[in-house]
Amino acid sequence: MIEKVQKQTFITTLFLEKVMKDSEDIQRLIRLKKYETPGDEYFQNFLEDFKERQRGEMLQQSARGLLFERVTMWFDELSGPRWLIPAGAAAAIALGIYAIRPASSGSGVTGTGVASLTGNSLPSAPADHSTAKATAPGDERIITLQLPRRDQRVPGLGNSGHPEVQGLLPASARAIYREL
Amino acid sequence: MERESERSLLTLPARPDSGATSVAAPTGTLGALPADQAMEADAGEDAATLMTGKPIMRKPDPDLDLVERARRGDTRAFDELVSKYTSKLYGLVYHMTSNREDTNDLLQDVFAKAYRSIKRFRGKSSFYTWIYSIATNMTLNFLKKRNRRRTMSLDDVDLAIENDQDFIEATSKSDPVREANISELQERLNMAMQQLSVDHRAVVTMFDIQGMPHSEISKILGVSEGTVRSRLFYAHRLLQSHLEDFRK
Repeated sequence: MIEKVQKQTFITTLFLEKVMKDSEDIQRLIRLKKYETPGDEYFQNFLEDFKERQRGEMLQQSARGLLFERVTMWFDELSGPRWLIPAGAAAAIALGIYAIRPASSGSGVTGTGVASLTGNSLPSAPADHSTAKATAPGDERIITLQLPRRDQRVPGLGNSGHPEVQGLLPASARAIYREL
Repeated sequence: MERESERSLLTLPARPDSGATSVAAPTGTLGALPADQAMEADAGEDAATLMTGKPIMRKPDPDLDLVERARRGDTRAFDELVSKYTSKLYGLVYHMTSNREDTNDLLQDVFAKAYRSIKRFRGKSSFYTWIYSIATNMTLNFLKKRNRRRTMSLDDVDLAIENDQDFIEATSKSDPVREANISELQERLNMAMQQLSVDHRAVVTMFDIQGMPHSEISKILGVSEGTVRSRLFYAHRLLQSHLEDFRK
């Protein structure tokens, strides 16, 4: 029994020695790859190439790209929870929309004082060309255009279907009026 | 052939040229990290502290001064770091890709990435380990994308190889199969390397060609030393089958 164990141990040792020797042989062969080298000139020029390439990339990179990269890096450096980043961005967008919305809804009827918002009445065709009601696309509010009397209009401005309107209305109101 | 890696794991002396520290490797088999994660991880940081519960004295990073200056925006300091590590990183990338054009492009990208990210380097590992991690992970990612396109574009072989005992033994035996010239041997070695998976190639490059200890490789790759040894074992077995006629 002891003899059998000793024999097995001897065989295992021989096998391991062979494996180790094979492995060392391979290591010695692979180690020869270290002689593959581009030469000293390459390493001397590499730094200059690197700097040149960096400069080129800096020129190509737009200001927006740089800003984005810096913002990204700034966020990366933050130690807070990561979910705060999208949450903060969403809050900023919501605030922005809130800040812009009242201003835009109030400025929609400005101009030369010829348009005003009215209640929920249906649009009607301009019967006597002195008033016109219109619905802006996607908006239920009615815009009533109040035109000056015919004798007060400036002739000869514009040649569309409503030449008398073009000289008096601002461009935004004119566009809406054309859709009526 | 005695190697540093064969000695005690916790008392490994740092290689004089590597800036490596005397710490054990982190455990786990995470595989190669993406380059970004590798940068954030400061590869191998304080792994010994985690394992033993008490801090181990680390050799100060020889690049500390240059790194600090580079972090403050001193481009000359960064240039010095580039000059210092170009040849080592070139070897790493080249032996993994076997293509010098790809190596040049990758190396440029590695240093560009390091330059952009140096302010995030917290000094918990040596600069050497940090930039090696970036280079390794970028190369692994590149090779995984490149997939089967295996065009070789090899560097010249330094003629000093002719005086290397291993080369003489490998090429001057009586067996006619083994009477290979330098370029044939180079091609065979590179073809054999390209047969390995990228993970196996990485450990062979770092251990066999660049002579790095297991502990350092495990820190760079973010895997345990056992995994490094295991990958080396299987890589050598595969290489044996591809280079059989050179070994007999």
